[in-house]
Amino acid sequence: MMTHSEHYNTPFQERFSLMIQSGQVDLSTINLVLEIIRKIERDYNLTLDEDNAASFVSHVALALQRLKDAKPLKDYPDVLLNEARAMPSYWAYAGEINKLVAERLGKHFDQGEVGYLTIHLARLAQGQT
Amino acid sequence: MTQSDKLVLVASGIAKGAIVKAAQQAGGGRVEVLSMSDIQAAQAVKAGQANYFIGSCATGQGGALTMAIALLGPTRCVMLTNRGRMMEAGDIQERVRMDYLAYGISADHAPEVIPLLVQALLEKHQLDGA
Repeated sequence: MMTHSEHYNTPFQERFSLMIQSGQVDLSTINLVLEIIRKIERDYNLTLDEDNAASFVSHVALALQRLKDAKPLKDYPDVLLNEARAMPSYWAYAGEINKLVAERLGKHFDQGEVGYLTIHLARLAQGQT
Repeated sequence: MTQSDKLVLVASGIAKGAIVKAAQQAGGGRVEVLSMSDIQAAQAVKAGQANYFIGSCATGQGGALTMAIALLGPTRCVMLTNRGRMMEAGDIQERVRMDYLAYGISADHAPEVIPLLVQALLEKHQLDGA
């Protein structure tokens, strides 16, 4: 099944294969992760790889799978949204990603997930590996 | 392979440097702490080359443990903290007494949680000098 996936041509091939094989995510989730990776690489002029983005891509894949499976996070700490909104450019960009997710899945992340995405994006864009 | 008089810990994820530093300070000569990618770290534990995996991510929402879950199984993995929230010391000790091989943390909690985790692991293995 995986032979038709684009993820064979990414630096995250082993990661994605392990996540699929262990049942943490499915192939269509990985394909959407790849679309998000391409968007970020284009918009931030970055190249994402295992050194700078392993944690980010794992997080996004799990978050998308939670959304698809209708298993949202039960709650999130109050500091999360305060911290995320204090980074307005990344908060806005996380909203752009959420719009893309909604177009593909017909549903979107809640504010908590957008907050987590914001924090990951800021770390990634600022080169904190 | 692991030694009976020393715990081998593998640190991974975005806070692996902070984990190594905190674990070495807490464990001294009773621990050996190695820094690896999460895939390599989980493979090392699976192969018996390390005792425990300690993973980290920016938010504590699962990214720290994805590869450990894939290679060691979900029942051997537990998150100890997430962004803005950390388990109480007693809860960490309780998790350590269970059969977990992989612990996940939110990166910003490394200086606080790692000493608690290492001390609990040393006690579990009767390496705490008591």
